[in-house]
Amino acid sequence: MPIDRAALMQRLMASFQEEAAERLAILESELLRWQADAPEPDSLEAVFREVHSLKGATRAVGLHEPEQICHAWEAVLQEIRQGKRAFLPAMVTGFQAALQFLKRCHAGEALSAGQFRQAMDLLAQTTVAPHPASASPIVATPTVAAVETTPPAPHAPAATLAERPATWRGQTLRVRAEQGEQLAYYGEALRQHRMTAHNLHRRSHGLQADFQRLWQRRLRHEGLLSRLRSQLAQGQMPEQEALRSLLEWQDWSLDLLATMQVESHGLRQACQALDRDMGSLSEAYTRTVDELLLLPCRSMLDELPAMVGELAAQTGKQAELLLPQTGLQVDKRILDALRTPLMHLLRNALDHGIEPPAVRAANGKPALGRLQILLHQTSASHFSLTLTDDGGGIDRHKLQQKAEETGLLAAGSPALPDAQLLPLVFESGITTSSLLTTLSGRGEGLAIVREAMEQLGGSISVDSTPGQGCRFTLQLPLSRSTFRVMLVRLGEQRFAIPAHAVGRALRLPLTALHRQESGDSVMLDGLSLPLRPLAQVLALAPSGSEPVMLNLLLLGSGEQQIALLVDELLGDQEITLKPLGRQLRRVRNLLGATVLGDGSLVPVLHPQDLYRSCLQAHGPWQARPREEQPRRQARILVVDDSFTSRGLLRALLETAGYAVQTANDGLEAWNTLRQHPFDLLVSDIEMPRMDGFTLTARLRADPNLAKLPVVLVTALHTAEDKARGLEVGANAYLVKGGLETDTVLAAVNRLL
Amino acid sequence: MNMMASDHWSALHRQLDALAEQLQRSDTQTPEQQADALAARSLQWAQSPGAACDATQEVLAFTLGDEIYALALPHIDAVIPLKQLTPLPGTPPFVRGIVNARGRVVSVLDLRVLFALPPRGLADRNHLVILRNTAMEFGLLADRILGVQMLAPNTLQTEQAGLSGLRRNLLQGISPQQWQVLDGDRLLNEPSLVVDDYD
Repeated sequence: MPIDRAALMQRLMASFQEEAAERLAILESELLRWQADAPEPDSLEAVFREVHSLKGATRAVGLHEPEQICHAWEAVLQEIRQGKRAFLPAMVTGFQAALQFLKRCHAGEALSAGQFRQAMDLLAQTTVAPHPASASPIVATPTVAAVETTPPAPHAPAATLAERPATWRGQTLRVRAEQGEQLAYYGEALRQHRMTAHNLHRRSHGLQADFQRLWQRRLRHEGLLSRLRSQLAQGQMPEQEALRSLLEWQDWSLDLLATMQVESHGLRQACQALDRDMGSLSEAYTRTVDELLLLPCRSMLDELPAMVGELAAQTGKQAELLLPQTGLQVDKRILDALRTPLMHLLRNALDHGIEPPAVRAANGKPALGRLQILLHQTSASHFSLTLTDDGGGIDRHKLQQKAEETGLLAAGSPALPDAQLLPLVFESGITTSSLLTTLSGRGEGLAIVREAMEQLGGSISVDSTPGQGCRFTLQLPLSRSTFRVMLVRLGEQRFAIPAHAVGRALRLPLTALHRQESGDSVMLDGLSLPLRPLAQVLALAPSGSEPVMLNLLLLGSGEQQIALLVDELLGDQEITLKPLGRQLRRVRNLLGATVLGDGSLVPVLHPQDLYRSCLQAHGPWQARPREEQPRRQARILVVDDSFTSRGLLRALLETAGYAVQTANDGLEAWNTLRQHPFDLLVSDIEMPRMDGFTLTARLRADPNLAKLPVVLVTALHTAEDKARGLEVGANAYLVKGGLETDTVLAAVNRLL
Repeated sequence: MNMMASDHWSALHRQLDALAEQLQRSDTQTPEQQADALAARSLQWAQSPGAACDATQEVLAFTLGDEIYALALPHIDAVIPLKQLTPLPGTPPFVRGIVNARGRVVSVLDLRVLFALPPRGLADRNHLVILRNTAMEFGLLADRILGVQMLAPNTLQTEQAGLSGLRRNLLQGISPQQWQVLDGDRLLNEPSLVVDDYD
């Protein structure tokens, strides 16, 4: 019999664990809103109800202390509810204390009698001010001494906070009734669509059967047809009967074909409608699920302070962690994935950042080290998390030395500026701590953290003031679904690169390429950037085709930029990142893969790896040898009476590295050309005062300007116009309708 | 001719002699000896369920180039037609790429590259045999699927000359019809197949 009781108790505890997790989460989110002002009646009711139910639940499983806490809390709430007592913001401290006590009990911590009394005292204080007489008798409850705290699940001995795996208990979600209804509605809509699809399937089957009938009839008439053919070939009169059945067949076929045409038309329309409906349904569904998965950040952060205290104690240091009061909500999947990296960072800060009390005292700091987490929503889709500590900061000298030892920097390099030196802490094998401790220090922690951030589509940066501490800033998307990538083509393959890693995507003329012994480079904004073909970085066979333009992606920032050469830029897109499968745990240069709209799989490249691989890929680019271009920047005059076209052409040519000047019409252009030297003219044809034909003819007649290359760009595109343009001496004639950047630039490149 | 006939005769005589000897012995057995023999036999039969499971196994046979491979069914998650293989840069040559298999990304391995076989035979890779357990999942390229057959492991020839390294490790043996029977468990647990470029 006792065995059964134990089993019953175990089941009871399990369901209590789940229920309590849910109720505590509700209490938590409600209490957050109480900080600033008096609670709404609704909120007060909700909290009262939860505390009351929790009391019942704790009693059921025989948790005396939590029960008493709940009881005391409920009593205060009851008085507020009945208007016997006014709400005071100071009360929240007591409520929070009660909540924290309950949460820690729930987490399976063994709490001392002192901690219990403290929570009870704080709760009792909330009742002190207005009604001193009614100090609840609970404060003096005698059972306190018998420290019979939460019997945790029998199989789980007192695991410390820091050791517990990276999931938190009670993996339940709160679903608002509307959301539930919404999902049910989607389910219904889906069933409706399924019926439509079934119907479509049936109809297409019918259509196929009709085709079958057409064919069968044709086969049946094979004999008839061959008879008629031979009669005709022999010059005989065809049989009447055969001709009649031929005509009959013809009529029948026509009727059937007409029906089939109507049916296929209807099918196409129905398919289109289904496609549209399914599209909007799937989007709405994704949106609702994404909303459903939003959790308050606090749900993850709240257990960290206790962990920090514990870890600090292990290292003989003292530290506290301050959390932000925030209602920021983030996708559960992001929060889940963020927990481990955050623990890494906290361990790191405690281990390497915060100094031992004696050292802190010597430096005039309080013995208690302070870690702080701040949360901030930076845009509609992203938030940032900063973790600051007031420890010793990063030792720059030691970091540089370490980087030289591990080969990240050439030995004896000059001291790097912070912007280049500090990011090296994220390289694997780098640790500035000379000790390997149990907490951290194997030099892999920060590399793994950065890896995790990138998997989530985020980034991490570090900042440090010597002697005063260190700050890590994590940039992360609020939701899992927002991951933007640039799509590029290399030969036959497509690749995606996370958009946050791409500084710019641009097209430059081949003239922008500088070939040197040390490798190729391009000039951009006055900087000479190393250029690496992506195919070579990824060790793919170079594509055979010769580029007309350089399609470039810039990785990194400032002087650390690298230009990646690709065959084509295909634009950017929102994707969901998928892992490469269990057999490919990690492949260099790859972050994962994604499925595009057409169902094809495209590899997503890993920005940091690419950057590193770029630095290793030194081989010269196998490009066709070109005659040396004059280094001087070519000057181009653009003439167009339309402001927009002028601006477009100007931007296009300037991006390509030319010096551009503009004129409003032919006459102005003529005057400008006679006063200043130009290398090329790009002109519209229809313009007031002087049109493009006249301008070109005049140039050709002028001894000084006769050789100036002229590109006519126009909306006219009859063959006669083209002939006339070439007749008056234009070197190229482009039609505006097809004003593709390629053609204009290609023409300009060709002529210069 | 004569030689062979006399061989048969002498074999028959030997068998008859052996039987006669056995009969003689059973007559002379004490009841205790008989009980022991029966007990030993019961023990042997008691173990039979395990042995029976081992006796035959269902395998999926597929061709790849010149060879026929077989793999026990329990390790196979699915067989799908291979379309749209996406090659990946930087993977070892035996990884041919990835495919989208029912919403999951699954990597595609080529046994011929893995076993370093010369590229011979018709290249007609149009099926993917997906192997899966809780920790691992990948697909093996296959030309043609021959179907499911019963195979008795004890008929497999396990020692074969000229097999080396990975191949010997991953093969359970060669069946009488010369199929290469792969060891699904070892394939799924072979550490050298996992690509993990941590640095």
